[in-house]
Amino acid sequence: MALRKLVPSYFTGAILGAIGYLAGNWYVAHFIGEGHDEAGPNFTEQGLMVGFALLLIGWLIGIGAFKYPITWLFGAKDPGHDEEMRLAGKGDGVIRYFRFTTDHKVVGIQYLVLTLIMLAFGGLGALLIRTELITPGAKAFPPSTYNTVVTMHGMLMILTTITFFIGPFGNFIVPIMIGARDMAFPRLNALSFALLVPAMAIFAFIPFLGMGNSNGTGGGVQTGWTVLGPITDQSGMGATALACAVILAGFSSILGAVNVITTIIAMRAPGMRWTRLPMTVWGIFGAALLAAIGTSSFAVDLLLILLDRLYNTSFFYAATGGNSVGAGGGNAWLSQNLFWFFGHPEVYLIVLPAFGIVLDILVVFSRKPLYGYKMAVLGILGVVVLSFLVWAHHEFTSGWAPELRFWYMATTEMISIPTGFVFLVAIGTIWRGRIWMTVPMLFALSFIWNFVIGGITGIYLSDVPADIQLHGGMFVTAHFHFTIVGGALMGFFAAVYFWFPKMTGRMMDEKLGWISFWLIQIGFNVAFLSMFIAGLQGMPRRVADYDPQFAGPNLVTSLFAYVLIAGVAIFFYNVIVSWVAGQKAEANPWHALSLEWQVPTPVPLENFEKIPVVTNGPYDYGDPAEEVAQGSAPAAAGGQVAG
Amino acid sequence: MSETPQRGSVWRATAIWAVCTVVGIVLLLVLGPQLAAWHVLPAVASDRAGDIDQVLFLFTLLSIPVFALVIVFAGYSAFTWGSRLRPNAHGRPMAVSSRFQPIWVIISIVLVIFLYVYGLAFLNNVNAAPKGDVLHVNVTGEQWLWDFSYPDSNNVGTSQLELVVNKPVEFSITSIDVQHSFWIPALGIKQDAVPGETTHISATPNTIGTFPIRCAELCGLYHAYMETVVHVVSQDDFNTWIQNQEPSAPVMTPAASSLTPIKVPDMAMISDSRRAAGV
Repeated sequence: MALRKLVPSYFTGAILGAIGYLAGNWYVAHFIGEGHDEAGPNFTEQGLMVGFALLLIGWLIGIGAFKYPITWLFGAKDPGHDEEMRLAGKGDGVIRYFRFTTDHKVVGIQYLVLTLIMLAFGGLGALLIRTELITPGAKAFPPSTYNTVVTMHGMLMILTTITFFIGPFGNFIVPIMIGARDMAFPRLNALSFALLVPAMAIFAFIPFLGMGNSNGTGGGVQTGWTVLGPITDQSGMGATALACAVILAGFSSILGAVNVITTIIAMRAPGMRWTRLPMTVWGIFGAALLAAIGTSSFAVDLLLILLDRLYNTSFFYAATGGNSVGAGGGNAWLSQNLFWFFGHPEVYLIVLPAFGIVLDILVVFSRKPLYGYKMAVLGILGVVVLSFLVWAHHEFTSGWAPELRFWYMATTEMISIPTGFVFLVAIGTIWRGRIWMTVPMLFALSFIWNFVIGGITGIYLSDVPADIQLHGGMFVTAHFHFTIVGGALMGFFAAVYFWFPKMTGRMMDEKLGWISFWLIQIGFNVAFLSMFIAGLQGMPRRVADYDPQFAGPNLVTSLFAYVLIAGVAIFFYNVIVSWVAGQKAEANPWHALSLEWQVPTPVPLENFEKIPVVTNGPYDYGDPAEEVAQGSAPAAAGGQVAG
Repeated sequence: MSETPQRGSVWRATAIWAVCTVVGIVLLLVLGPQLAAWHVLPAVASDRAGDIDQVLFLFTLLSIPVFALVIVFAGYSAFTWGSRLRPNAHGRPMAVSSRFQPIWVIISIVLVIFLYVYGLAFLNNVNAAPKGDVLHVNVTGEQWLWDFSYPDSNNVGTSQLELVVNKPVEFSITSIDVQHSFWIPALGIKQDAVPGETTHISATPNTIGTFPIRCAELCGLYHAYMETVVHVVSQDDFNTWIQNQEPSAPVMTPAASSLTPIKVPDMAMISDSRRAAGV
């Protein structure tokens, strides 16, 4: 009987996916490649590509994603409420986490686990990179392996960071925060996660494709995560796997984003006006807008790259001889523009939810209303709009349209104004607060320190003359790690510590939290401040080897990167230990006011017995009549609910 | 109802901010000029590199009070009012001051406009065509080396770059395979080498010496080793040097070329030249 429950599940999906991949490979090799002498070497890659397509289809059949669309096509009745509840995993126990389950909380947990795994592998990449760079000389790996590790670290971390707010928290927390029973499109929601899994499976192929090849252009992927056209067209087979994985992850991201946007617009409880939305919801809303609009541009870029690589088109190749291939007539700048039109909004997509979450956490642990709600919302929306107008600042040195540089310099510097709003709100919120120094609060405060450094160094890079010197160097690497690690990742840690009790029913260990926080914050700051110096000295990015003059800062960076990684390892240990055997959490351990803390833990299926009517904002602290500090029952916590 | 009196005041925080700002600026003024000598900044060997140093200096000068403002006020709050124990009262709500927010917005707008106009002035230098007697150099990036040719001197082709001190140089840059980026930190110039396109950048070297050239765009396997040096020499030395160079074959046209085997640079040779150049 137990086995019966495993059909369909992710296990059957994995089996059919593997069969699909092998079948696709075999089909191309035996029915298309055979007997075509002019086929050339890229039939292996075409087989790979068809294999990936059948892997996806096999996976989706195996997990049962097609069941409802197909029965609907054949005129079956729409599923009733009971059937929907069964689909949401009612009474299924742990197995519901390994199935195509529509409950938004199950999807949220699935996302949390997957993004943590992705983060661990991305961190492993960082460890390898810093090990190679600890001293001059390419000693640890050959350059081809190093470049592949750099590419995989970059791309995997980007996929992780664009997912790790919208995925776990956008799914688990946001619907409860706005007083909804589920997402607007529960099945689409399950699908967006179900697409990320095969995307990651395909991504995992990269290191095994031609990595031994250290001749010619090298194995693996030699491109960096920016996948500029010509170098990606030329790179080894890994680039095909990378493109397929990222296109698929992009679909997942767009579907997730559309769902989040619709949910926030359409599913708010009565009385949950736009002016009563917690900042977390605003941040995730802004990020979802960016994901829905920007991601497709990257998918187009990768699709054109795949065509160039497999089917002899020439979008990005000018026929210049040398190692270039293809018919010519293409243009490398096209790829750069398609990429950065996604690539720049994408970094704000990563950090906007962190803005919202950090502001919410500052409010809860300062026991004070948010200082300047409208200003914070305006800050987030201002960043959303401006972020689509700045992409060519990545091309100041590319030679493309130098006459437009003044314009992109203006928009880029302008974006510091709405960002500044968020800092004003943050400081105004904690000023004279009753500050409770918990682990999430520590991470939220460290966000302020780190992100202001990331922001200020960003202004250096927005200035064309300074950028001409600093572009493509370690200064840029240090800058964006300050925004993405120091900003977004710290926000993610804060969010995990903050919502862990609601999501898992257990508290995370506080002592381990403090230790890991200080290791992370000190390790990160010393490592990357030191990297700024390497950048100012003139060290280029993404090099396997470097001149001895950069040895000092690189040694410091590597040693403190180990400290940072040790801190993150303790965080992972804390997550696992606390999830298994942590102290049981009450429904509202932080005595917060927003809706998600007013429902019981574990959150029941459909969240609310009765849809709440919201009569006040999430930040109404400071009214003595609502003083709840004496550990009263959460229901009486004077939260956002009334009636 | 009763508000327990709280320690701390806005004036104390402001005083700490002022002290931090002054200390920061003094440190910048004292240490700033030493940075090149300590190799924290590259050597300044052209007008363009001088511009960049000025920009970096001004940006750092303005960043100090801004950084200190955010950090001091946030840190002051955390240290003054923070507690490991759960507080048993709420903080007093703070009215959103009708004066303070506009002041913040206006100051940030003024700062941005100032930085922008300042940047524009230097951008003008970057865009300006070099004047007077200009040395033209064609630069071609290929995996994984730089080729140079001198169109003013019978297209002399060489793998070594020599420039004349105090004579403006204009580089015309292209690539025959993938994107590279031509970077001479000491001259303060960087320009991508794009296959099928020609890009330009100019500078006037003003110091005799030998400086590194690097590739700043990941261009495949041996990207890290795609570096060489530039010699900035006097006009006489340059004339002697260029006369001893062979005129190169005509520049390869796209149609004439076909797939050529990939050149894998001799790694031992690269590290030797790196050591010899003392970079």
